[in-house]
Amino acid sequence: MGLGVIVIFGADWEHQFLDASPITAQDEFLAQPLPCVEVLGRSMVERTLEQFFRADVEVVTVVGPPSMAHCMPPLQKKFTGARVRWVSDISAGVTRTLKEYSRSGIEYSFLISGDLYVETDLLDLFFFHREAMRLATRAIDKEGPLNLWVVDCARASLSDLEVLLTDRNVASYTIGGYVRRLEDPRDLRKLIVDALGGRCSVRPGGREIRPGIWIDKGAEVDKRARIVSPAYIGRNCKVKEDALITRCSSIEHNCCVDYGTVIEDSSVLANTSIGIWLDVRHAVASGNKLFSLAHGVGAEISDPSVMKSNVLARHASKHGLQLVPQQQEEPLVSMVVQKNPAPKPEWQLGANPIQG
Amino acid sequence: MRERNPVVVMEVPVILDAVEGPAFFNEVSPLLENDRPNMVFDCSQLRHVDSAGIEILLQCMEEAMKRDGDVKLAAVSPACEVILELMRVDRVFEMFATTQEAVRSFSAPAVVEISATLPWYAGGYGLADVKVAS
Repeated sequence: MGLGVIVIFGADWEHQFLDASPITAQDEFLAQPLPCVEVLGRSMVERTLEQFFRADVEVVTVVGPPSMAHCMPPLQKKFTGARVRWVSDISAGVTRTLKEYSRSGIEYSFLISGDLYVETDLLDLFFFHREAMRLATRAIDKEGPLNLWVVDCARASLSDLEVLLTDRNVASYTIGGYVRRLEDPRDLRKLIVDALGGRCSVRPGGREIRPGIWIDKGAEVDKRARIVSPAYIGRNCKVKEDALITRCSSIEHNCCVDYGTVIEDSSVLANTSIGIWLDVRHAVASGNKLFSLAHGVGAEISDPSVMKSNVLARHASKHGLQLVPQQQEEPLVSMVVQKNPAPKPEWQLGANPIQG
Repeated sequence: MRERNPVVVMEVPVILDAVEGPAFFNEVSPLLENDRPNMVFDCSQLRHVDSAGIEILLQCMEEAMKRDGDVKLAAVSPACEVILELMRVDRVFEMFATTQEAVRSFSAPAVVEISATLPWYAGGYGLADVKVAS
């Protein structure tokens, strides 16, 4: 008897169920699905896979639309036993995976939506399903049904998957542990606040240099910057003088928080540079986009001195190139890459670097 | 008794940045040269504002304050409000949901309820009220 997992991405659970989901405002804001976004040093999809491998599953297959291929972290490198399958027909992809599982001797499989994070005893859920003697068991919590099932691979691959999973006759298993549905940036913030507050088992990366303050490898925090617990500063981040990071804020990898800026109850997602003397409050910042949780709206910042994405800057410094601002006539075009024989470091090193 | 000046409502253009901003400032600046210029900037059309645009708003406010006037913002969209907050100017301007409310705010000082338990200075009097009283 073996156990497998299928992590499903890009399914429109509300409407056409396993059909590919339409682009939503959230997708436009983040340019990548929330489970692929780094949270406290690692993406949620990696954390989910790790949980399943810890529960002794043999194989995990990630099924999603081809448009997601570019934003998925390299799972196969990190987990032996992880596979990815990019298909335009999600339902057919899941059915084919179940058939393959069945042929290779895997009797049961978990099916989980990629945007669901659950902390529960997965083996208990599996044993419950086996004793219930049903085709499928669906997990539920106090807010309702969750997109997490256990199915018999052989029988499920022969039946209509959508009918099977939405069938009212499937067994229900109540989850008492931590559950977070990652549907919009608010959920991301709630997860980070819960993780920093110790309300779930998501642990920030790096070292806890003081109670509640985690600093990851290569981060540089100026001695005049202030970090109020709990907070997380990711890999290769720079927090410059007089910056203030407070109230459960997180700064993901390769970010820069410039002079005098306040990050309060906010998350700065990877590769984001925040300019000088700004207030980022109750928000999620990603590249040049800012989603205000207080107002429920997103704003795109065209001025690169205020907010910008660091992806280009990182690649340029890696390849000995220097970024130069474009001419004043076209201020909305942020940067162009230009060859420079003597590359200058874009960032000044902090006065008091903390090496994680 | 302090003489009340008329309140001028100006519509802020759709884009307020380094390109569009100076034209807007040139339009507003003659009005700011009056004695006690009371201005409401109707931001209902404003869709894009950057740091240069915000600098122009601050410049207008500075000019108005020099002559004992004020600039208030009305109908600021949530997205623009996010940018004002980000750049720390949301606390500098008085903001109102509608232009009517903003115009009214120049003539009617905020109603202050004086608590029996709190001292008078904790009642929230504005600076303008203190000036009139003296």
